[in-house]
Amino acid sequence: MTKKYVSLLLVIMLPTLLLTGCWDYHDINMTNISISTGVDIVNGQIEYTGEVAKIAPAQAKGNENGGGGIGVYNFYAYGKDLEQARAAFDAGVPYPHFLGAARAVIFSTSYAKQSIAPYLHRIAQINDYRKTILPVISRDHPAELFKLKVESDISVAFLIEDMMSSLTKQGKAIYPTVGHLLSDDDIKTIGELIPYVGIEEGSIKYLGLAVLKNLKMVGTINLKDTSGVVYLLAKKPSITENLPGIENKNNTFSLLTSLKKRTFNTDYVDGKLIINIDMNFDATLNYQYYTESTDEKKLKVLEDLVAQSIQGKIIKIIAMSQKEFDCDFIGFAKYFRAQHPLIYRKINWEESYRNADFFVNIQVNIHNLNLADPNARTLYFK
Amino acid sequence: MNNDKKKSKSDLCSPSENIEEKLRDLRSMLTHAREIEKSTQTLVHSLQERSINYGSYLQQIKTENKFIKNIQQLENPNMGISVKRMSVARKQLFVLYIQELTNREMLSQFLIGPILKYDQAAPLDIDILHNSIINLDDVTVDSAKEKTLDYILKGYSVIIVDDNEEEYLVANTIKIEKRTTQSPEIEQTLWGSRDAFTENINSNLSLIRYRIKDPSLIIYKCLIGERTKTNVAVVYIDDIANQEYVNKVIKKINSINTDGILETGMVQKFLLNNTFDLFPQTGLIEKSATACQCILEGKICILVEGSNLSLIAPKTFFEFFVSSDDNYGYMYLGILAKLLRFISAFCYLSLSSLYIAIVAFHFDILPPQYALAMAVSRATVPFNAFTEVLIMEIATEILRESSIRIPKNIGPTIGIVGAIVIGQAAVSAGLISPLVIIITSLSTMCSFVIPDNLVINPFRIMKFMLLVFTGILGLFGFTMGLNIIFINLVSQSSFGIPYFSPLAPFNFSDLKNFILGDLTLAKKRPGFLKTPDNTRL
Repeated sequence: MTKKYVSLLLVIMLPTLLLTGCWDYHDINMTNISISTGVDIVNGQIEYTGEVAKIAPAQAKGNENGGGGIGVYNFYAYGKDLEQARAAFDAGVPYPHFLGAARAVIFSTSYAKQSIAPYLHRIAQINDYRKTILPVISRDHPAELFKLKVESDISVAFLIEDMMSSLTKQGKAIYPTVGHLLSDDDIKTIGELIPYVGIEEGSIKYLGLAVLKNLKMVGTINLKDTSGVVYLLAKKPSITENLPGIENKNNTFSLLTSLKKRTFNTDYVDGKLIINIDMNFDATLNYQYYTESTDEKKLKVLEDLVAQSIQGKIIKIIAMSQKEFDCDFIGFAKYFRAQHPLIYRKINWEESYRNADFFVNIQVNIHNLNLADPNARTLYFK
Repeated sequence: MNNDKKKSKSDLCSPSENIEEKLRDLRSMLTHAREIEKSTQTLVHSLQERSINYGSYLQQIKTENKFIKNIQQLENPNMGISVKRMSVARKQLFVLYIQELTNREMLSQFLIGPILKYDQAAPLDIDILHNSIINLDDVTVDSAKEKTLDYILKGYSVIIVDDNEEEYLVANTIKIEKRTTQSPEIEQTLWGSRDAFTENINSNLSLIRYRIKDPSLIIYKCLIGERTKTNVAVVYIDDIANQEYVNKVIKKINSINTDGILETGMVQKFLLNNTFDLFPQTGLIEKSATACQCILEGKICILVEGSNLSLIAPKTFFEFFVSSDDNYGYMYLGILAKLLRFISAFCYLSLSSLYIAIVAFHFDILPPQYALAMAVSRATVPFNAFTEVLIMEIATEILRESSIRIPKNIGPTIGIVGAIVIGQAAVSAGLISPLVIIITSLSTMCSFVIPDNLVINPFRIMKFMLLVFTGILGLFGFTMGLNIIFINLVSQSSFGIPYFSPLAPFNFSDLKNFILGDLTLAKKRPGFLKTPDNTRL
């Protein structure tokens, strides 16, 4: 019996000891925990910068974090290329790097215009890096961003990541990851969108979206124009639409829209690419600036107005992608390739997309007046 | 004339010489008297000593009776057999007993007293003593010469009539120092009944009989231990318990060959299938109600004389997680309690190991904030995670072990000292991270959630095994350790019953009954016990 157990133990343990690499024992506090990385081009050299967690003893008092806890310090390293910059950084740190806690990678506009592909591929190949890390393009130099003292969060990277994560959960932004970018990059015909940030009035702000074509930045979409992108790409878009009053032109209706269903149907007829976008929305009347009574007729008008507003935003974004950026950053190619794989192989997608016809059909149903309608009772219970 | 001369001669001695002579005589008498006193004292002392220890000295009795001769030949002066010699109605009688084991009041009042009062003309004999004089319920006549000593050593009083070499009387005058039925010490419950077994096997049997008034209740008794001759009782219900398991248990008990059995634990060791098995295959029950519940399930209860714990066989792993409290209140409470117990068992086994795996090998599985918080908590700790946890676990085990033996009146003080030294001071000194204190404290608390302490001990050993495995191989080692534990669990059996029943082999009905723990819903006894009568209701 004992022999049996010993044999069993040996069978289990030996392959483990011989074949696995589990001898990498290293305590977490003996690592250089990287919080963020910034990549820029300064004077023709790669500037490698970022934040590293400053681990102060929990019971220490009087440090700059107000007595123990998590703080960060910035690092700067320069080199002719990424490897040299990285080597310069490695030469000055006490512990091996741990990149698993990195929250964001921030590219400068100048670096992004050259191409962020090298750094994305670096992330893809380093096991430590989470592939769900948030890539961001900064209008200002990343080094300037990291110098800012952040009061509302642990560090710059935490602020950007938490901000984007929160907006995405609310349905007001999109949260692309490095993994998504690399996956989309494999389909050479589509572009990518990543958050665009910068310093405004002394603090870091989300400015809109940067458009990438073949992982090179080709332009930006202002924050006010990003609603169309969010309607098309966000998992559960929920955007507030402000509409002028129906009777009282000084009035404003504030409605919160939420997506119920979204379908993209593509077709290729007579050498022309046709894309049908059908979207159903529910809407809630948040409030009116000045309370105005509503009835079914007015509601129908409101629903049409909301639909028109959404449709307008979507059409504007599509127009930008076709004309301004000449890049399918929404990713319609993925749908077309799935729906018409044989045709996709034969056509030149960029050319077809440039001349494609879009039909945007938006349905909105206002189902909740949020008790703001004084006539609601007579309206529904007569 | 001569007389006068003599008189004159004596008169010639001076008075001082006479006094000196008298003084000398007195001194010599005094010396002699002291010697006599000394020897008397020695004799009295020795007699006192003997009378204290042995009553009358057996070896001094002059008789040709073969029963007494037999004991005299065997008797060692330190054996402590007392003899009361009586002459009644022209007969010599001897009562042999051991003072420490005998109820002397009973002996005097109902045995010696009536004999001494005998004033009939008919000569005394065994029959008259047995039928007319001795006022005790348990008196038997025996003739086996070799059994006399056994009777005396068990605490019986043996009455021998000098001229009767055929028979003697054996009277049950046993007095055993015993404590009254008390609350259980190790099987604590909130609502369950509180009558626990004592060291007296008869009291324990009476507690079982009091609860189960079934004519099918069988009590099989046997003696184990060449020297201790310990009474062992195997209790079961004939038409419920599987005869195969009963035979196995009885066979194993009868095959015990040792000089002494003093406690239930000693019998338990002999009942094990394999000395190297980690988990207990028999249950240790302190409460009579729990023992009765097990007997009603079709299990076998083993009671050992001199031990306040009974053995229950067969026993499966999941039964260690059942408490008599589950019978009270709503069914859902019992389900929640069982769930908590299993979670606690897993936490006790694995929390420390998981901490090592995460902190030292796989901190990338943590969300960034947690990883940072963990790093900060360990900022000043000079040891690596494995050493840190090992130190704390050993310290906790020392505290646990010491708390068993600490006198009750200083226990709380030591507890506070332990908590301050190991908790606050170690963290303040930066030797241990606060998270490790939380983990070890929580896991220790978890161990007390499991109602049966018996199953905790293997977990204690396996916890350290998991720690070492994880310390070497990280999460992989942890998984490997868990696998070994589960392989061990599912490959064990208790008297032929799969130890991991009803999960392996899977039996939905038994599992449902175990989880719900509601007697009104569990109409059948567990299938794995293979009881002849499996219907409860």
